[in-house]
Amino acid sequence: MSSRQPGAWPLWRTGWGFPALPPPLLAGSLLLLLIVVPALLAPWLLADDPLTQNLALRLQPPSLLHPCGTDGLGRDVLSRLLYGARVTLGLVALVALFMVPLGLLIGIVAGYLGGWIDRILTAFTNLVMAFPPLVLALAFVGVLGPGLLNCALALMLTGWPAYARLARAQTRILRQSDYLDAARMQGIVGVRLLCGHVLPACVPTMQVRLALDLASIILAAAAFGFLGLGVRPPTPEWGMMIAEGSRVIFNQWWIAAFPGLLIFVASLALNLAAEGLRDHGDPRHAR
Amino acid sequence: MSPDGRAATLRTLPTLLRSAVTMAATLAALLCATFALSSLSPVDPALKLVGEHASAATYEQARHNLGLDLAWPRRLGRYAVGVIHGDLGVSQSTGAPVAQDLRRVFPATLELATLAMVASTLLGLALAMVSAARPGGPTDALVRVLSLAGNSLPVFWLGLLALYLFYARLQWVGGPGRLDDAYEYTIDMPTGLVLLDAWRSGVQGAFGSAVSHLVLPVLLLVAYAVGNIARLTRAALLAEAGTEYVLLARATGAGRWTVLLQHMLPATASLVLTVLALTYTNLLQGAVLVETVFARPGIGRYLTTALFAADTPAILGSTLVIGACFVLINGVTDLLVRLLDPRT
Repeated sequence: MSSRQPGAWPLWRTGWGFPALPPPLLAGSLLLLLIVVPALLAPWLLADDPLTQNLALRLQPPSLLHPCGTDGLGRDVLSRLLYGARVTLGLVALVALFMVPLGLLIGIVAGYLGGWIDRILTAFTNLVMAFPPLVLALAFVGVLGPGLLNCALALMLTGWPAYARLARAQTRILRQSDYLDAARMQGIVGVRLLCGHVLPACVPTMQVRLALDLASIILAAAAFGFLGLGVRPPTPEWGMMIAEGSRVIFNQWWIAAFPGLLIFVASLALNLAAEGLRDHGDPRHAR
Repeated sequence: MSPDGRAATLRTLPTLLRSAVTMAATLAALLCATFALSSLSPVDPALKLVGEHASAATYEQARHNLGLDLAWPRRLGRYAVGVIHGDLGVSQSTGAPVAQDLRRVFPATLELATLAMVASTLLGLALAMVSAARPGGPTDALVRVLSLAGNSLPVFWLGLLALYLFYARLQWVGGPGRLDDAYEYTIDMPTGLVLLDAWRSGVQGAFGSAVSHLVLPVLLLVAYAVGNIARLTRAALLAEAGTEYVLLARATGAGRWTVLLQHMLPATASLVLTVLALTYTNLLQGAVLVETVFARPGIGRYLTTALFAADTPAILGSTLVIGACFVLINGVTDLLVRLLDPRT
């Protein structure tokens, strides 16, 4: 428990054999599950198709039949929300899947090799970090054309430097350690050494960063959708739904309110998880 | 100049030089990035200029005039020279030079971001000190909630809801735009700073109108930024709490607040400065979305309008200007931190 900081959240002990978790991590994970599970099960949960229009039932307020109301084309907002979650979560997963390994690769190579390679890679990392990430990502999608893939690429290309920096710092610390010498003496060298012995040591510091980044990627993805740079209509997406709702915000506020609420909850869940992970400290020292 | 002063100057000179070189290199890299983007664009600027029905000769002439028939290093050179001379190309949607457009809209963004910056700094530092004075108290919890909410709320969505509630429903504030329609087209905007121009116009009610249109956007940006300022400053203050100089100060009988204000806050100055710089850059980016929601003419709205129109010169020009602000803010902060704190 020595790794816990003063003023950290108290741990909740369930006593049923689960590890004790800080409340923010627990709350964040639960909130996230509340969004992910319905999104995955959407086709089986919902009676309404997210694309079916019913102009007789347009702009209906929330009711038992349509718990979140209907939009300007009479489509069920709840089912559009759940299908929209798939787009957002898919985008976030795609970005994370490529951004983190890219940053790790650059950081570990720079930290492990040192010398002029390190200097070049570090200078490059610092350069990219000095740019305005959101604006650069917007410009990237604006110039190359709208679409989910371009959004993902833009967020990846502006997001990796943080991981490169963390990985480099961690690798520099490890480079001269006895632990790596011992591995080398057993004949573990090259890629195997980097992947098996250096990489795992970078993971704990990266978890917090990743959770924070995923939260801001959700917000950025929503901003892309809001500005019309994401998916093409009629595919439902949270940011775009807010943009559609903004046209009738003064009379039918719920059309814009619900997708924004979900964006907030999804982002909050990840920020809570990050908070819990940070409080939890380095998992290597936890019991 | 005293010998001491000269020594200090000699010490700061290399720091100044290094900062200047770093900033210049970053700006050059930014230029390369926007150039690369413009080269990757699927939109053919020559075709867009002459239209689809132009003859091959006209098309070739347009390509030649735009320098598109040159090899890329020479195009980059031309682009860089142009930018240095203040030539960012011509906007395809407004038809005016991008640099001229940006000069018109940028002050409004600076005004919005700076007002939000001042307000969130004052509030954030106050919250940080109150919560550092009593860790675990109610202010501490408030800071935590504010920072979580600030990092999780989609600012454009909150803006919409705020417009609905405070403008459409309660009518407490002005709606979209920077002024009421009655003033928008009647008063001059020589500086582009809405508050200043409305004040100087002397038109009855113009200043009040400008304020009432500015309140919501500023408050939104404050809500977005204040939690992080408070939280990071609090952490920096608490890191000093157990140190020997603080214990000594307490031992001499100095009160809680005296120690906080006179001993701990100055010691964390460089850290706080970094936090504030980060916030300012974040606010400039946040202003892009807030201006779009509130239909305030500024660089953010200019950029998003250009995004809708796929207006490449305008997109890249705005990116370059916002990027240059980032580089300047970070560079100056870096320099200040080095000069303030000889340990770094």
